[in-house]
Amino acid sequence: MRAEEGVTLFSGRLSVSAAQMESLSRALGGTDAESPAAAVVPFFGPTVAGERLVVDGIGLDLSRALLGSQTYKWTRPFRPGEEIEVLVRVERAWEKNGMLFAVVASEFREPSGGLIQLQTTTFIERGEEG
Amino acid sequence: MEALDLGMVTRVMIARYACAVGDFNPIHLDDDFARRAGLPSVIAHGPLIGALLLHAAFRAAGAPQSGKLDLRLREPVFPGDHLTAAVAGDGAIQIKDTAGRVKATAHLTRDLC
Repeated sequence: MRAEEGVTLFSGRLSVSAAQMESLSRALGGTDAESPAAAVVPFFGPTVAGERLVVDGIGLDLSRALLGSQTYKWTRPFRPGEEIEVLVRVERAWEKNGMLFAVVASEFREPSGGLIQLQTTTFIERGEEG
Repeated sequence: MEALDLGMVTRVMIARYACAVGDFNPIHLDDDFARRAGLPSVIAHGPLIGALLLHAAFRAAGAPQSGKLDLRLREPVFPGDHLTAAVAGDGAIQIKDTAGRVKATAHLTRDLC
């Protein structure tokens, strides 16, 4: 891992896909297509602009990577079809006991700037064996 | 909060979650890759566990307009793990499997002001 604090991994406008929310709802509830949780967590910030966004952005070795923690703070649910501004950046990076840590912060805002959700995700990369 | 049944985590659920959020890390989808990483099989995405907690909590007590979830992952969750969530003595929500292993802990705050 080679995370650099303060580096922006993605900044841009996305659309909240109704199909994606329904897909997540089905994952959570089987046949339940109306899970309100799907309107709160339709995005995993570190993959919001493609699955390699954070993997390549911070040089994560997937065979040694763990997800340590995640925080969601939302001011309201996402709305299907709405346009949102997304910013994903490396908030912190450090090493401890031979393991590497990186906190990736993701902001989701209305085009007017109003905050919808903040996510922080802590990645851990274990040291190499032997 | 009453004890919540989060249900059984399945491979289909993991695959559906991967598609929904675009997280195709092979540790969640490829048993051979997971074994090479020292695991017995693929594991569930960490955020999936948080989403399952919210799904169950919102079904039990309604969905708040605003809120905060702090999720700390303690152990991998494997396909076949049946999870429940209950508040422990320290106020944290413990997410356990049927063997009583704590897989994750969480704090859920509803209706932020």
